Amino acid sequence: MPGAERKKAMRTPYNVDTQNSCSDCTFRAERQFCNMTPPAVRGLDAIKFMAVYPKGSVLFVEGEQPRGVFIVCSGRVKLTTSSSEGKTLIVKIAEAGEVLGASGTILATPFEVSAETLEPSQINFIRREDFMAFLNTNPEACMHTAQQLSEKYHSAQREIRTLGLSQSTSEKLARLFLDWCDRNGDETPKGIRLKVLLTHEEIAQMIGTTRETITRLLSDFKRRKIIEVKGSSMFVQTAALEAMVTV
Amino acid sequence: MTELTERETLQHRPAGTILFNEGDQPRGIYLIHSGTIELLLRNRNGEWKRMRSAAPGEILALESVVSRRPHEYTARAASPCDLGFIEKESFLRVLDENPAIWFSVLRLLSQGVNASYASLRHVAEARA
Repeated sequence: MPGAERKKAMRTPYNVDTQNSCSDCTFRAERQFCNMTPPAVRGLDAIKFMAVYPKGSVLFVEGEQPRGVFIVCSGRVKLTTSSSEGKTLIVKIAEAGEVLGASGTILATPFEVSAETLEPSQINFIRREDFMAFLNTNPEACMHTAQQLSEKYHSAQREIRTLGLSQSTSEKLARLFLDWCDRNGDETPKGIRLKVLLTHEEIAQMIGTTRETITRLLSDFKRRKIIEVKGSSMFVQTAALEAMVTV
Repeated sequence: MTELTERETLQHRPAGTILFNEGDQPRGIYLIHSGTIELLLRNRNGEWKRMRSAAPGEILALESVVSRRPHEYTARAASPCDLGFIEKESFLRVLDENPAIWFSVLRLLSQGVNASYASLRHVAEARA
């Protein structure tokens, strides 16, 4: 982060750069929800509570009655749901700029998913009554919230496609890696480079399988030179993965 | 939602009609008045998977119009249907002119998100 440009950011015990004021936030223009006109942002500032969470903090759990919405200002949050047999499925990794808990908060129905931080994160919270009043007086905020909900909808559809149409677990894993390459990959002479910050267990939870299966499949991908792992970086041969997917 | 129904064009569609295909850019929203619409996904081998059915009272393609993104699924009439169609530009104009409608739109989108999570759980359990 360029120091001069990000001068409003402050360090905290979890080593997170925090933004205390939405109006002064240096990332606002890049964030779909927060990028509102100055009067609307001042309104947002007046109702938000800023907090910093360590890795592994549970923001809300599936089945809980919503107290409000959470805005991810920095860090990443995993959204999970549980099957009737108690297995965990990661439905999305939410990133900075996303609003969490909006559907339950708007409908006043229990949360459909749980949310847990994957790394130290700044999360701003808005109480339900304040959020609803904010929407009531800001068509612009309604539009931005509608876009957030639409994104969640599209993301869930993509996940349904991967889980429902893939013929095998290796195809699901190939599809997952291709999605990551599309969104966060860097092109290098050795292939697309990905930063893999999830454990084997978490990758397994993203495609509804077991940790053991992921470990076995990754070994297989390495042996076939489809991926190469160096520390937390993974170099991916996307053509080989494309050949494996049908969805 | 009277403001919406005032702008709709009524259509009758026989069973089997494709309203839109996945990957298409959204042209507008569909209000289902009667009949059932199947929401389908298709893989590269041409295999279809039914995600869920949409019933009277539901509005289709709202999420694609709002996010200006291509449809993620194909919508096909499972029975003869009566639909109201509102073009994208006309719908967005209604929202501009009647901010109160936003609340209904947000509720519908929220229901869609929750229904998708339920479908996701169902698919994951079925494939486990």
